Amino acid sequence: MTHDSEPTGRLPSQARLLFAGRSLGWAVPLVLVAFTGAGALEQTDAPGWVPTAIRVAVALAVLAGLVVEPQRRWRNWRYELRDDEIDLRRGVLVITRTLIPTIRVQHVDTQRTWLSDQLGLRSVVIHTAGGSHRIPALRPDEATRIRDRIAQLAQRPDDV
Amino acid sequence: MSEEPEQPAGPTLAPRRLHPAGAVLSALDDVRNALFSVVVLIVLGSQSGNLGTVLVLLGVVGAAVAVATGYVRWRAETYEIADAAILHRHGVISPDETVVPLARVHSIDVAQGPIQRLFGVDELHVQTAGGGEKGEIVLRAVSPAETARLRAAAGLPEATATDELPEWRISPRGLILVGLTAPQLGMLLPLVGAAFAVGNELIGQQGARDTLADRLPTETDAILLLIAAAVLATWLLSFLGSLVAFAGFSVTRDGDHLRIHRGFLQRRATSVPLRRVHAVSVAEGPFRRPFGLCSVRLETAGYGSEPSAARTLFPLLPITGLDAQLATFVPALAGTSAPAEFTRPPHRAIRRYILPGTLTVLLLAIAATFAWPVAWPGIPVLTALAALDGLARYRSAGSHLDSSRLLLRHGSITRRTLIARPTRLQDHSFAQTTLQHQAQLADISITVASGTTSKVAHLEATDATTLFNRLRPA
Repeated sequence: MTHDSEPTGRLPSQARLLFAGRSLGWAVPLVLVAFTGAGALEQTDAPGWVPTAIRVAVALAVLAGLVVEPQRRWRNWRYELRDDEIDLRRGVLVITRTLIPTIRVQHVDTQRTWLSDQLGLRSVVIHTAGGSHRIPALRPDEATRIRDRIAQLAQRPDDV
Repeated sequence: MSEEPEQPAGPTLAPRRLHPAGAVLSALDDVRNALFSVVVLIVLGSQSGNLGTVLVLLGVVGAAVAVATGYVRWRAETYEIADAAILHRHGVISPDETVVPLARVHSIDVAQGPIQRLFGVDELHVQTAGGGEKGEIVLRAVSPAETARLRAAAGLPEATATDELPEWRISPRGLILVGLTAPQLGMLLPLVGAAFAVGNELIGQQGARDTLADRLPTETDAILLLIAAAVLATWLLSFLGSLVAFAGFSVTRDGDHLRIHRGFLQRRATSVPLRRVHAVSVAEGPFRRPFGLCSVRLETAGYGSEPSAARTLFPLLPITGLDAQLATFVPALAGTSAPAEFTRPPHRAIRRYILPGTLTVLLLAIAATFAWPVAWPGIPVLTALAALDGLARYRSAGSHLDSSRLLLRHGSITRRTLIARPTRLQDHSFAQTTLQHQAQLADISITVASGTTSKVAHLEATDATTLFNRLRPA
């Protein structure tokens, strides 16, 4: 059989908040350090434009991390389960489409973190002998449905 | 099975102990484990001035304790066959019992350390499908006669009628070549270059009559001499390491699994079921490729965490002989692939291989020169090296898929080719940046069961799409 179409399933829109929340992990320390440093530079005889340049650069980086990157990541994410393969397409700068034969799946997890709980989201992690793949943000009912479906499909015997 | 009436109890072997050499091995373990405490005691003893007394006491008491515990542990260790399973009991204070059903045993492998060889006994590794170099059960001292009885009772074929089996064995000359061309030597090249530079300076600057010590007035020179010494030592260690790891290396194919023997002092035997070999990776290192030589590693489900020597299939092989050897030892990956058949990235991809790395290096070199003006020669030299690296990666890159196998090739200093069974891939990916999309180029990557990922960058997008779709489940 042929599947010429790209995967169609999309992540719920709250996924953007989850991605933005993850960016906070580096954005907050960066802002604290950079703005403190810029403030300290103003007291020295460094050229006046340097602290401003630092502040602008950091503000742009934070804007990218909190708004642009989550938006693009969410917009690009697609997934689809077929009988014989799992089709994932994602990425921000590099768009990667990955196919995992269902027969290669060793086990499937759903995972939750404090942040994902607040947003009512779960992630599904698909483990193969070669590594793992994550669908990062799904509604709990969809996550459970996908997990059970993959587990059911993966029951066919494999000779790994 | 046969028509004979089945024995109700199946094969049995009454509980028995290891060869007494096992007690010696156990005692030696104690001595080794106690070495640290012994050293501490000696240090303490020397401070109190009674070193002689302490040493004698230690020797006598230590030997007595080691012999006693070795004996007690040897008494407590037994193996038997009952209820269609091999049972292994060991441990004095907290006895352990390991049970491996005979149906799961796919081989009983033999290894020999120096002590075992001294006593003429074998170390047995009961291997199951779970695999790994160390067996599920390890019996450290079993006489050859007992080994044969255990094998017979376990219903396994006679040990090594290896004469008729296909075998590949490393030659003494091959072994030396493995050591001389070890890939880790490549990393030392820059250091060697630096050492030569210093050497030239030392000899060039001053008269030949000066002693070496006179020529070491500056710290830099001393540091660079130290580097040279370190390079030599590392090279020697790497050479000896290769000798020890691969001395006596041999591969035998016994039906549906491979037996790999290696090791100099410690003989090791690994057994790998062929159906778990989903791929091999072929590495042509900087000192091997000019001579048409390569090394081949097994990419096997469940063996990913083994040390690299344990995953080696051929430590050194002429690349022209590779297909023939694969046909003999890993038939599922057999085939012929002329380099001309590879699908290669188009010419317009060259700059994408060269520019990003070269520009990064150029910027870093310029920044380094700002900080440290002496570094200015780095700008042309490192930039040229980065460009050559990109060109080499472009020339290596390629893929080839036929009915039985998939080949992905990449690399610069070391060229790596992953040869995989296309129906056993764990996943495969197609990746594009926006720029690649506009240029109609794409990357293809695959993952095999050992966790190894291989990627070919900047293929023609139509080629990449074709490959991507051909790799999908039928």
